[in-house]
Amino acid sequence: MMWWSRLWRRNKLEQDLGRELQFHIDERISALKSAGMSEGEARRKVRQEFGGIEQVKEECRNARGTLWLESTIQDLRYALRTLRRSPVFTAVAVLTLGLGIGANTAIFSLINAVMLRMLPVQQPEQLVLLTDPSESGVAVDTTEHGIRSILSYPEFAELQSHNTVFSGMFAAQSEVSDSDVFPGGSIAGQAIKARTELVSGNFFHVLGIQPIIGRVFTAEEDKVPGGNPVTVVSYDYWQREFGANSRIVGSTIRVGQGIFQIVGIAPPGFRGIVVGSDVDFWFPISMQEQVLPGRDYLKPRDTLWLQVMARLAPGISRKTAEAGINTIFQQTLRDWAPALPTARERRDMLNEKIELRPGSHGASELRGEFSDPLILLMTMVGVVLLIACANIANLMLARASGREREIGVRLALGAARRRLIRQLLTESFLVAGMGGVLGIALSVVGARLLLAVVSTGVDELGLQVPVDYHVLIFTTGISLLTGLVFGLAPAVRGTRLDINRTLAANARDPIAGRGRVRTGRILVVVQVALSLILLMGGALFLRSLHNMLAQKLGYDRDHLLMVTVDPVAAGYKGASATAMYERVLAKLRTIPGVRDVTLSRGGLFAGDSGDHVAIEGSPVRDSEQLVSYWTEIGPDYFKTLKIPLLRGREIDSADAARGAPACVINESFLRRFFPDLDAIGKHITDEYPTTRETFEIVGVVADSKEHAPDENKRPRFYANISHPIGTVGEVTFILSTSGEPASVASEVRKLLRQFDQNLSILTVRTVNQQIGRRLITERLTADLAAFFSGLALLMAAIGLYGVMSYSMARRTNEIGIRMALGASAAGVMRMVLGETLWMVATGTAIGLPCGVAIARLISSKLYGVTAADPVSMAAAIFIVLASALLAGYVPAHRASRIDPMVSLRHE
Amino acid sequence: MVNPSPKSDLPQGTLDLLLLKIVAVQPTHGYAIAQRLQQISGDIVQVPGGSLYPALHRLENRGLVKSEWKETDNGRDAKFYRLTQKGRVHLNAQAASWRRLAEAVGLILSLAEEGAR
Repeated sequence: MMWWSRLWRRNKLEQDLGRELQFHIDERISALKSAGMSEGEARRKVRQEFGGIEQVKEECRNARGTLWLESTIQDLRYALRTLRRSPVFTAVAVLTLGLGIGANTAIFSLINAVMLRMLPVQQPEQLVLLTDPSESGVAVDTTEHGIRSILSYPEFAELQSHNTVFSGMFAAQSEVSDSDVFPGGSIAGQAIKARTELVSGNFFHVLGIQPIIGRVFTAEEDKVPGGNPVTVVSYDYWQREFGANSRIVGSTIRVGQGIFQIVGIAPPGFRGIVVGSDVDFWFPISMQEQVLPGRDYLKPRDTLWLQVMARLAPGISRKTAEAGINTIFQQTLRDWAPALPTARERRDMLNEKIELRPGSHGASELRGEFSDPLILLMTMVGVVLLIACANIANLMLARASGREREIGVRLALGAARRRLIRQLLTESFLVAGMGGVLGIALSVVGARLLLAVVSTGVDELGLQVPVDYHVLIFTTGISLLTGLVFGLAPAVRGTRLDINRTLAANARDPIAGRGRVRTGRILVVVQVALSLILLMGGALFLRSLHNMLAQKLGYDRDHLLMVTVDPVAAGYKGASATAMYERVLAKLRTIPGVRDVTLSRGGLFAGDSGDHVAIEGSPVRDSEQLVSYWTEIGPDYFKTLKIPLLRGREIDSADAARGAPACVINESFLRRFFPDLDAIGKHITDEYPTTRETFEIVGVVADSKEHAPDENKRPRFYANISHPIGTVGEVTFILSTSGEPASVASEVRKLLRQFDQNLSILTVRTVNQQIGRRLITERLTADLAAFFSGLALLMAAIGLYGVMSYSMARRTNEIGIRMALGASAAGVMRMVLGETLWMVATGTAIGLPCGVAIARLISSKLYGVTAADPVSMAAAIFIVLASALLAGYVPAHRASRIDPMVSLRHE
Repeated sequence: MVNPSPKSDLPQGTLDLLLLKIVAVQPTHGYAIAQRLQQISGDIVQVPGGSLYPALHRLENRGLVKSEWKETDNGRDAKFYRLTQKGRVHLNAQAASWRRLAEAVGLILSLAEEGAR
């Protein structure tokens, strides 16, 4: 029997103990009686032999070894009783802690979901991500974090067929597609939105994922293009959309241009390898043409779209494997390089290298984007919790004074000090535990809110934020820690009593509470300093965000609507695409409230593109310098966006109609490459490894910020989209409106549907919505930093209020005497407020330099403000001061109203 | 507080050894254990209930004995203790070491007597 089951069955044990001893006594009595004793004599003798039956029982209980637990239960009961007696203290403490722990748990559960959780697959620690850190071509904004983490299909195929270092290697589409799925395989049915992902045939096998029903793909199923129309559905999707009906296996769905048979259902919890993009359907990679029609991703060596992962063979280190796979990769590159046109490109290609990164947590773009802000926020909420602890420690100290007598009496009656400390700590832990429970509840709501904030505008984020054991361990840990932090000092202090004095002392002895008030004041000073630091951080982030949003972009961002469509999937290519653009533009122009319309390849605030260029008539020779960003646009682009045309003309509908190789350059391009400012009529050749396109410069426009608010003077040329660089996939129509751009969105959708049912609309967003989406991390950081610093301030104000109230209550006598000696109410008020201000001033003096030092550390995240930003500092100081005066006013006012007669009569 | 150590003159730890030995022979209830100790030792070892039961419970807590309720010969329910595997190992080790100690003590005492003579 384990000790807990023993405890559980305590009543039964108690009964058994009684029965066992009774049996002994009965046997003994009957034995004595049969030896000739009378009943009474026998009983007396047995009692004498046996000793006190209760004492024996107690020793047996002791021997049972559950005593410590029983006394803990006793402590808990006692603590509960005490807490129930002071409900206000308990409520304030639990609420404060709940907020602090809740904030920590919420941020931690996000960190856990994004950064810590391992993939739910077999031995995830063996997995590695194959990344290629070199970038072919010029910086591409879509991989903002520097490392090229995706590969092309031919690269994967080469590596896989020559693989000797990994026990298995698979590829998955890195950006999950949003597709229309038609259950039953007919077009007539209602489409359901689903996230689909193409994966190599061995995807599930290498991960070690077993289906709960049916089967997963075989390694042979990705060999023949178009040959294996099968799909595996995720557990969640099966539950949600198919009502967990197991007969769904064997039925068909239509996606893109293929009809697929559902062959299996993935196990619960497995949602793919890309954190933040949960997958609903998996398809063999060989079905790319059917799932994503109109494109060929399998043949081009430069279409980067696959996340490749591998499983390390047992006993092989990541370093060894990296060396091995690079030997194979180099061989492939040497085979491919001769096909490239220039020496520079050949050299660049041969310099490419694969880097292996730990893959146990899966791949994630979210991680790169959110890990820094999350760690920053975690630090902030940690400080908030610290302030909460200081508050509760303060409350505990104040309460301890009320309990001096009780504790004194118990010490005098011989209670061990250690036992008393244990009891007081039990109380702290109980409060912390309740705070923890409240915190978990708040965090579930909080994390959902956070996710909603992050997801606003963004395509719904496929991310699970579960309260799993990591989160529970974390919360339990911090709850216990906080209990110890705020409980230990008051417990030790509270039991260090001079019994005689305590019992004899007057309850209002002004000396007794002095040390406690001092400790309380120090805590308040620390709180003020900490909240000042947080406030400064919050102010900095808000100002930085404001600077970004207020940034002049160079076009009329408030009146633009962007509609992104997918012409390729609807079958538009080349000339038919050009004709389609023209017809759609004409239709959109008819919408009331629309001023001008145009189109571009990706729209504004999407990913940027850039390449090496050759420029006719430019004195610039250095090939490293000869790079430019580019945007593909339709007619009337600059007119629609209101970007000033400086020279020449813009691309017009005649250029569009005949696919003229015309382009417009921006001012930065002009100044960098044409110092004599004479560019019209010159030619630019875009050098992409697989394509060469030459454009004639027909105009010059002012600079504008196309994709980021902090984008600085990027040389850019705007090419005619009807003479595309490479293949055009999605295109974005841009409408300028006279009123609110969002108001024409539904009309736009209607017109497009009328135009062509098959032309699927991917997104409809105003430019401002798109900007908000791009600045999501900045917004999240700024909003939460402001929120948490507000929370910190609130707690510090409560702490200040508490300490001042307590100290005033202690000093009623003193103040009464002062007033009896002629101090005015205003004088007392000034004195008390002066003390408050003194604490705030000290806190500010400590907090300000620390704040500036800390702000230096985050200055790379700031835009347009310096770490020692005087506005942020002044705002933070003002807010701290104002709330401190507010918190200090009530106790000060109360003190000034003390009636000297009443207070002195208390003696 | 009372003194929790047994009132008999048994050296510390010996009571456990004796109890284990008794229940090693066959599962026995507390009263019978006391009786048997007294009989075998010729009334020298007398264990009062106040020492017996805490000791038994301690042994059970350490996993050296196990208990179950069974009917006695005269039809009453009693709690019978029996030795566990762990208890047997412990008993053997303790018995051996006790024998060594007793022998050693005996040797020393006989030497001392000779010396005194």
